[in-house]
Amino acid sequence: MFFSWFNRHFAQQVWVIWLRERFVSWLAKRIPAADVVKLNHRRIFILPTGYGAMFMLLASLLFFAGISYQNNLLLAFSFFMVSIFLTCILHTFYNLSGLSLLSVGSEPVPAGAVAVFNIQVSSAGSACESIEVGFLNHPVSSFDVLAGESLKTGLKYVTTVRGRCKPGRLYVQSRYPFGMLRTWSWIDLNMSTLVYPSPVVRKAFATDVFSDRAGRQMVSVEGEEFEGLKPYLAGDSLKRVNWKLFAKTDELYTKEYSLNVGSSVWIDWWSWPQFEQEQRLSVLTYWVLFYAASNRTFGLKLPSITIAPAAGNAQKQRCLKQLAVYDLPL
Amino acid sequence: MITSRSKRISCFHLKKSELILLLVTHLAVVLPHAGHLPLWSLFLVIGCVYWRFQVGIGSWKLPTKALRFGFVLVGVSAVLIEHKTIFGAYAGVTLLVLAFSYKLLETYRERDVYIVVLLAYLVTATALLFTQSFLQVIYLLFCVVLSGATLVSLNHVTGITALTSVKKSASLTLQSLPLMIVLFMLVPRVGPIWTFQSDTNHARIGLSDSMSPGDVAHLTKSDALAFRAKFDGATPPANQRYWRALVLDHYDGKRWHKAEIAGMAGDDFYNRKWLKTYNSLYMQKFSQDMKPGSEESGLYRYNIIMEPSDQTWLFSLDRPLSKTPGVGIRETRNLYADQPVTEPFSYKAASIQPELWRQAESFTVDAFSSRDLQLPKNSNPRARHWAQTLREESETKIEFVEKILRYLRQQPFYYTLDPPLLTDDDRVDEFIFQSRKGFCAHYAGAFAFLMRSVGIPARVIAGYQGGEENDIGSYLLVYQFHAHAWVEIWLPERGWVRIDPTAAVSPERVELGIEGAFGRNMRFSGDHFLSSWRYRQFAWLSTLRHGADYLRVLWIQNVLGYNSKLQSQVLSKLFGSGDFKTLIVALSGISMLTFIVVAAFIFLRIRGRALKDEQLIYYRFCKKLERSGIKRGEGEGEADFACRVARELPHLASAAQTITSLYATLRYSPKFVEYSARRGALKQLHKMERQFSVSDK
Repeated sequence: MFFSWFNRHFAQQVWVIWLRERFVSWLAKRIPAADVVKLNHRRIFILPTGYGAMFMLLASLLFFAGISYQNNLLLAFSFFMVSIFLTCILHTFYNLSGLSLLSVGSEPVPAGAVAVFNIQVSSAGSACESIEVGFLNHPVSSFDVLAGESLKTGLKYVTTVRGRCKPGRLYVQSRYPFGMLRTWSWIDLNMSTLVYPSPVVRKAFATDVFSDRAGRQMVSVEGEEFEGLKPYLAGDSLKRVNWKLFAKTDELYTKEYSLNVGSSVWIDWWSWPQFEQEQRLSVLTYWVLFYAASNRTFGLKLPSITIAPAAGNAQKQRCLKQLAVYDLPL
Repeated sequence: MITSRSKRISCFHLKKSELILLLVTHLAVVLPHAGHLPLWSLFLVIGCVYWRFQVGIGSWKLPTKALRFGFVLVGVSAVLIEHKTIFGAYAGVTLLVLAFSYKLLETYRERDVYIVVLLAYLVTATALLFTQSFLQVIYLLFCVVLSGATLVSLNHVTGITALTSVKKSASLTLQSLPLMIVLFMLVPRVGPIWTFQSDTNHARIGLSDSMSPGDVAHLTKSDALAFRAKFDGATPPANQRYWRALVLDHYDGKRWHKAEIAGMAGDDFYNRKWLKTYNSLYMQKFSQDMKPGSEESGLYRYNIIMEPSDQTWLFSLDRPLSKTPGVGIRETRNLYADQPVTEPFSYKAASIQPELWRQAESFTVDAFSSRDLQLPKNSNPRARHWAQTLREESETKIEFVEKILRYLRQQPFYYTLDPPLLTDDDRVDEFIFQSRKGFCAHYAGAFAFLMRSVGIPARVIAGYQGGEENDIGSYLLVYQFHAHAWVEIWLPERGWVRIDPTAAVSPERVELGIEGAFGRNMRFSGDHFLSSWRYRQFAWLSTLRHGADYLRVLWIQNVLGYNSKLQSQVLSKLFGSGDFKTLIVALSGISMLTFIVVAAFIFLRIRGRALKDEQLIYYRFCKKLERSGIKRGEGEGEADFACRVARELPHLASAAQTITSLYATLRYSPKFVEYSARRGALKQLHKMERQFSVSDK
């Protein structure tokens, strides 16, 4: 509540920005980035929540009431509340401390999609309950970790542009058990993932491939041979319906191609001269994914690098990586 | 900076366990107030809880804003009608409980639950304004645990059963107790900034400041405790246990009053002058005896722990002196408190034993005033005439008194708790010459009348006579049924002398106590079955009752009566000095130490409690196999291990497989998160593991 109010009114103030920068650099020194982070007293922060503050306020009101009414038990009750609050500090702190987080990689995603950063959390000594982990302003992942157990969870992060995406620090927090205190940490697990250009299907290219006339020229690129027509069956791709024939005969026929698996294709930067760079990368990405999905042998030609034709996941990753970081400072 | 936590807050329903805990906490917290809340408000509370329950299970909807506003209006006006105000403890608590209950009807976000729980703490605390008994405090502790359990359930992001929440909350609450005790004992007691007189007075049973003959008889039907008296040294014999509370010195023909009430006297000057003489006499003659621990003391030194009476008068033996702050003495030699006693109150007093008083010739301090001779004019002519005749026949005043007492003893006077009503205008006449059946108040009133009618200053004393000995705490228990009335007359050579006309009629009343006088025929009004006093013929029950009362005394003296004086005493005992500096040092040191110890305790406990039930069972299963040489390898999966067991011990193959699959289901299947679903499977796993034995072929 306070934070949202604060952000609304002060987030753009110069001193707030300055403070934030100081905090970030202080944090970088105090909790440096590492592949594995175990939370301990050095890395854990703890502060009362708004509710905790209200609770203590009520305790102090009862204290004054106890004095005024000369009522020992009322005094005792207010001391009890204070004591519960203090014990809560211990419980909340112990709950988070001992938790280890390890980055276990992530799958490349297209730009604009949600990247899932997988982490493995484990706790050697004690159970950590009601832990919430996430990136700032992103969905939270909540879980319990039992003692001596580990579990994997994915943290969602919305990517924006292609390249190597570093989501930065994630927060681990918990208010368990009473919600009077929030204990948290900002940790950097050196996480990064590849964000390749979001694939774009270019119709122009597709019609080129499948048009009857230009087809012969593009077949070498496409690697598919036109075999003939067969009657349309439900489930056949509508792209492959011979619409010209349909206009003449009123019957649907599907064009059949045979896959020439053995031959390799080139996905060539210069095949789409009409697009500017980013769009062209998107189109290339689409075809890389397409051929990888259909398990074909393909190569990639970029102005900076040429990847020799190959098949399989490794080739796909190689190509996507080149597409992701193309023309970007490393 | 941080995104709000899990998004279920936007849902209009709480989880099942949260709802149950919230509503149970609600009812539990209101329960201690049930006795002093108006009946309609209790119905409202139950109605709100029921409504929220129906909303929770999806049957009803929460009320609209307009409807809620209507509820608030109805509630506030009902409080105004009931209490005529919205201030003060009773109206305030009623309003608080209503607000607390109405809040339930708009509780659908997480924040609302927090507010309800916060109010629950407040409602729990206000219960302490009304009752301070030990049992109540234990119950309130339970309420605090329940409120905490609601918070645990609310803050658990993956779901938790109500029972587990209660357990977690209970352990946290109990772990908070040591620090609370340290704070209670060592936080400096400052005086009140504002003084509030709490108006949480009930209509209590006890003496009243006017006495008509029926009043005391009414009291004897109550077995409520009036006070306890613990003596340092000798306890006076039964016939000396006359506990004076009130001096009734004005007779209006029907009732005996305190003169001040009737507006006849009450001059402070007289009081102050008398008090000075009395105090100096005390100091001169008995300063030696006043010192505690002196063996050959002519003083009874005692500590009175009285139950709340809502009155200012206190109880003491005759010729008392008290140095407890807030306790004063009147010229009628009875103690009074500065403020009405609304909470258990403890004070120390000393009383001079009668022989010593006589030896010291201290009667000179006694004086009488015109009000000790006051009588309504022309009343009871027959009694007046008879008294005057007797007085003329006797030489001394003492002889006259003895004649009257002999008359009471010899004529057929009866001591009874259910005397016939006196209806005549001349009640003393009617009593002495016609009904002759009466209780102590009848005898005392009539006797005082007779004395005054012949010019002997006399006054009626209302108080208690007797006391039951509590062997466990070695003190006297004085109940309401010990209420008694007797007479003091002033004789020039002896000062004020106590005469108990009831003793002439029924000596057992004084010697054996009222229990002796009436035996098992005593009947108490009110809680017959619950009254343990009623079953006093069972020795063990009496022991139990005495033990319980002793605990209550300890509670009153050491907890309710804990003050800066006791605090410095404790401090002196521990550190040899009780000043403020020591207090602060002790407070910070000991509370820090306690905190560290509690921290270490929780740390160890959490480490020890890390495993879940099925893990423990599976661990035992692995241990059994390990003993027969099949050790589960590091990182060996449960299924793989079961296969290996099946290969090596084929006769146990099926058992091992079943246990493993049960364990895996409990451990990894998401549908086994809720306890209700787990319970059956867990029981089965437990049973299978117990039956599993490696040596058994």
